[in-house]
Amino acid sequence: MELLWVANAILLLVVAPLILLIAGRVVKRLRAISKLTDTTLEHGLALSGQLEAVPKLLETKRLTGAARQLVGRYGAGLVALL
Amino acid sequence: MGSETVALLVIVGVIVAAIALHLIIIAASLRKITSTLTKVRGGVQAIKGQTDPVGSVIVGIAGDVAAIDDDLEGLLQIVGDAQAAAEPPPPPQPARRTQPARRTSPPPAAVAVVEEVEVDFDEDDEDDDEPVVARPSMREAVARARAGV
Repeated sequence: MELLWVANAILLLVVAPLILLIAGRVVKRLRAISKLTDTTLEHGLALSGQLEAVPKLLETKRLTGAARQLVGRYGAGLVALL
Repeated sequence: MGSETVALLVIVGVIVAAIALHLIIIAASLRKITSTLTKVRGGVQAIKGQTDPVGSVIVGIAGDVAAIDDDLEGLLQIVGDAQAAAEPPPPPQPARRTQPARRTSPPPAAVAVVEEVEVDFDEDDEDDDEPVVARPSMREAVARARAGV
């Protein structure tokens, strides 16, 4: 009978606080991870918004190609004039 | 059943309840994290799809710009050579009236003599006294533009 009381005391004074402590730490880390993922999602959305101008690079490439041809034509015309 | 047994069962029940509560909280947090990470993965894949052609496009633009630069350098050389080869324009000579060709017909009885008088229409303009500032050549202008002056 006394052993049961000792076991009860150990459960109540050692095991229960230990379980609460470890579980609390796990929950705390999980909440930090959740905050980090939220921040990552927020910045990812902001980054995606900044990439809206990337398709304009195709137009820029087309324009630089046209400018290259026009410079060639201009040079040929200038050489013919001189 | 003794009181110590009841106390044991109560304590074990409380511990199990605490563990269950924490497991429920952990599961909810993991579910939320999974949802957020799924969105992040979709966003990253979208970003990858958006930025896939950037490398080739940038390389193409750089090639075009380099070719344009080379062509313009060649043009600059050609124009500079032509500018150096061109003779400076002769200063304007005062116009002289030339004698009209003699005609077979008899000359007129009276010949009016016309004298040329230079009229300065810009009497107030005093730029004639200022020194002439030499205009920079095209090469100098390009060099200045590239230097950011």
